[in-house]
Amino acid sequence: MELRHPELQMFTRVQSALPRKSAYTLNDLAFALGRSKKTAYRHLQQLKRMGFVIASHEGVFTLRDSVFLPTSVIPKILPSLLAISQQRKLRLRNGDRGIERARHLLIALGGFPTLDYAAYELTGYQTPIAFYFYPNSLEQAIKVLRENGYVESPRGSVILLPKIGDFSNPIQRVFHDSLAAGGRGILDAIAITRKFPKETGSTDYLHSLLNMALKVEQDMGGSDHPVSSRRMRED
Amino acid sequence: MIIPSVRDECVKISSEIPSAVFVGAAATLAHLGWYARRTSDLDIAVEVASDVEEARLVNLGYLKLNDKWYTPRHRKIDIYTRDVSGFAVTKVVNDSVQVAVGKSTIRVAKLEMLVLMKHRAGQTDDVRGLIGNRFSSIDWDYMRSIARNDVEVAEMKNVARSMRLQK
Repeated sequence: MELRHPELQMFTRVQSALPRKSAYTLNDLAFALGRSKKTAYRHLQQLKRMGFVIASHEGVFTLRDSVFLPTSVIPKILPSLLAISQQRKLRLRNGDRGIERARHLLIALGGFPTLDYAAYELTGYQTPIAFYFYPNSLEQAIKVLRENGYVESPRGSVILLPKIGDFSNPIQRVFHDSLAAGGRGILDAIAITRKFPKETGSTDYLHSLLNMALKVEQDMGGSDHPVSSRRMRED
Repeated sequence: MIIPSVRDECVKISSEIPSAVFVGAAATLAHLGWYARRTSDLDIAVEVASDVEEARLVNLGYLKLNDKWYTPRHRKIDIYTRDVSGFAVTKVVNDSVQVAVGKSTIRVAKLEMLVLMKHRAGQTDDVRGLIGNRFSSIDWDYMRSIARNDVEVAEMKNVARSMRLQK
């Protein structure tokens, strides 16, 4: 999936001008870009279409921090972003998360788990809380879950994604999905790339950056020095 | 399941390091009903320096490896004795809240302070999780009293607005 030239231009402008924040207003975006609020609104709509906007209401919005990844990585995560932005969340009608039951039902139907659980299975790094799954048939999966007492809910922890993009390399796909999700997903992506450097090596720039970080860490004595320990010594 | 063992670990650490106040993952878990994504590390703020003297911790079975501390149950723990994300440990401890864990209790950073800590650490997932799930419990006046400035509080309110929680 490629970025068209105008999209790339807009994206680069947003990336270079917008500071990292927990939430933004249209005024923040307009100010950062040096453009009108109307233009900022157009850019926001574009970011939404690309899947970078997490939540947005009356000109206030939050962005996935994957928006700040190197531009060379962005085309690789666009299919993941689109899939995540079209997610369908479900939980049991009685309010329970129903993850274990859904996992059995969905895996029997066929498809591909990703993000939290898949990353945890690959790395054991962060505990999972939501079950993300690309079913072979989205409609069939929703039908089966409904028949088993699940309802769609914004607070659902069983999360179905439409299959968009390439799934031929499962580890690479979980890696790209984790990068795209941003936040703690970036930590998962780093853990995956450390454990599976060959499978994730296609995101060249990011990969070399992580390798350089690892080299610096090793050169500095095999580990980073936690602030706490330094401070304890100072005490 | 892993989550209950974190609770147990928090209780054990509290009994070994009596002045420990949990910040970071353990505090987030405590505020979110022990349900949140996390790594296995635990962070504590400790005001009473003698509680975390090296000899004392070693006596308790704690292990120091490459400048990092591990509990006797092999869990990595970061110990903060001066400040955490711009908050003085004294303030973190004084404002901390007690949370029941089974028949025991542990102390964790106050919700509003934790939100700001997460915000300052750039952990936006946790900021959204805490505000989204605990919005009605947030004391905005208190947050204003501990924030660096009004801009910081406005940003937290904007997170709530983007989720349609606040007008």
